[in-house]
Amino acid sequence: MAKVKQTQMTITEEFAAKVKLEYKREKLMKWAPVLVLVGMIVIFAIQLGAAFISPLNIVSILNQWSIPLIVALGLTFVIMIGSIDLSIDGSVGMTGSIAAVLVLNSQNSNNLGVWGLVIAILCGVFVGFIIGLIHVKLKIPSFMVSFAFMNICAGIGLLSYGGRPPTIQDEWLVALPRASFIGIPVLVWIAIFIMFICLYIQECTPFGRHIYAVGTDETIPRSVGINVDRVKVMVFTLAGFCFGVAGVVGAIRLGQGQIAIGTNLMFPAQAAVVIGGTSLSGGKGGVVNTIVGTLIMTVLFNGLTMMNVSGNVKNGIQGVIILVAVALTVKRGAAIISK
Amino acid sequence: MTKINKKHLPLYFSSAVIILLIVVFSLIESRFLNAANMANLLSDAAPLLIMAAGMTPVLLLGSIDLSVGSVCSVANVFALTILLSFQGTHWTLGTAVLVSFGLTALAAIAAGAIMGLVHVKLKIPSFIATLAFMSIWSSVALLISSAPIAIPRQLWGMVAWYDISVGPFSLPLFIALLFIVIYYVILTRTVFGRGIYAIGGNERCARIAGVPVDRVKVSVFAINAFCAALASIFLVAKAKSAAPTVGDGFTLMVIAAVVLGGTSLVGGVGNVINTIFGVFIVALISNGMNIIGVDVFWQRIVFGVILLVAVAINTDRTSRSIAVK
Repeated sequence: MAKVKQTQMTITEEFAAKVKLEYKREKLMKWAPVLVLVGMIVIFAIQLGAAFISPLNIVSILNQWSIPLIVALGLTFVIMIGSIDLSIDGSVGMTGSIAAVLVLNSQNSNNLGVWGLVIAILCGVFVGFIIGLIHVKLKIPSFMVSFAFMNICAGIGLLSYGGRPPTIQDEWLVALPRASFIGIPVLVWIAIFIMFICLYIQECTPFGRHIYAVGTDETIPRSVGINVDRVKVMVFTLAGFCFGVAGVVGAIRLGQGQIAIGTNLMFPAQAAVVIGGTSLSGGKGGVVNTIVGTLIMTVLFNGLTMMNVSGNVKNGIQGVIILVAVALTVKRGAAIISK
Repeated sequence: MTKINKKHLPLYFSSAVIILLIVVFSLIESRFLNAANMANLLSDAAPLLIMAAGMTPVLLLGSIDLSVGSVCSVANVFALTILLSFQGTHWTLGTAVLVSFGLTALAAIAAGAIMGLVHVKLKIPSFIATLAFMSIWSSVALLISSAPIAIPRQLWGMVAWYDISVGPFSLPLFIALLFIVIYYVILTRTVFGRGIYAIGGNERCARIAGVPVDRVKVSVFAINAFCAALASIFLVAKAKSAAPTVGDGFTLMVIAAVVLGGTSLVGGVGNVINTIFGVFIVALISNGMNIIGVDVFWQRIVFGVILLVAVAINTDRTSRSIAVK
């Protein structure tokens, strides 16, 4: 009898120790991205000196940060429900192209002003909605649907301007990239505004809570009576909205509409979301993680650019970062099957 | 009344689509059916055939490889860079060709094996692992050469084998078809091949039954990369030049072709012979759109839609319990 009690004790103790260890590890993982960010800033500041922390460079980091941030915010919700959206390159490029074609431009006689931008963003919303609908209703994996839409959107974007990129000539829009408010460019403020909207959605709305529930285990919210399919479609629609805004901001900044606005946005966004601690299996992470993640990516690339590392190498580094970040967060063990 | 064998349904479907496509395109444009265009179509299909043959077992496992296009790009510039480095040495043309293509194939096998190992050992889902490698390889391709490289005219003899043909059937097409037949035999008649189907059907059962799951998966990814390299060599020979972005568009077409051939994304269902039909659907559409003068921008839209339709047709929705992510 005494022996049994002893083993029970050790089992309890073992369990407690295991929980404690896991808790410790989780806490460490939570703060790891922030530590990485701070460490990187320190290293670059030492390596590059005053040039790196000058106000000019900080504003340029903020500028480089804005579009990846908007894109990554949209992607965050998608990854939080355990899905993925690979359509970014296409849909951002498409909305940027459409925006430029609809406002006063060098190619045609359209002059819709702000409405042109709104229509372009709505196109992004619509694409997101369709991706979600096809994924949910036809039960096709989201990476496959969005991969197909990456190509469809890129095609639509190219068609919208027929090979010759239009230049934006609307005075107001031409002036916008140079405008700033308390020292920070207006386009960055747009990104910050979107950031707060996303934070509000995540923290203060039932929808935001449903996203976590669906990501953790979708059978539970389903049995409680939450319309899981609707949550999923809304998540993809929200992502489409973010990609639309990113495309429009990109077009305004470039002063031109072309599909290249979206090129090479997907990898930094995926890397930023994952490196921020949002797990690919869903249910973990959130907007704040993504803010840190995008800052890490932006600071890293800014630093590498200042150290004269070529663009091609930087693209390769993104792939490595994604691999390392996923490898650190993914669940392992004999029982786990990864396909 | 004889019941239609459900197993052959994808085959009937793709044959019907092929016939329909031929009829539609030849009605719109009479040049479509002439011998020159048909020969063109058949030889152009060779790289796609090889890559789709490599991709089929990957889908049979239930995995996916989004990096084939960029592996093809890397192999493309890699092969030609090595080939041209033999210029002015005492090596004969034949040796130079053999050495450069051999090295390319070996490098590709190594690359595929590394990708497979990362996927299997670190338990990273294949679509994200291959997505990351897509980014890495396309950047490596641009590092090897940021601009297209052409083969100088006096060295065209190196790739003359590509144009050997019997009637409309060219040598590369023969190689591709031979490869597929061999691969078909391997997939259906060997322990390794049956292991692939077993893993795709139910990985846990396969493991318990003693299938060396990890080894099979790594081998499949390595063979897939080898196929991409072989396709890239065909592309070098065809274009008599290499470009660091030549393979990028192939990923979509390859996956579309395999899925159109009736291979399910879930794994365990499909075979490599049916993939031939899928490839010819894709090749027909691509060639037909060129011949009737459809804007090149439309082609990406069309292939995207085709991929979606093919996947939608092939998806098994009978079991409601499966959560699709």
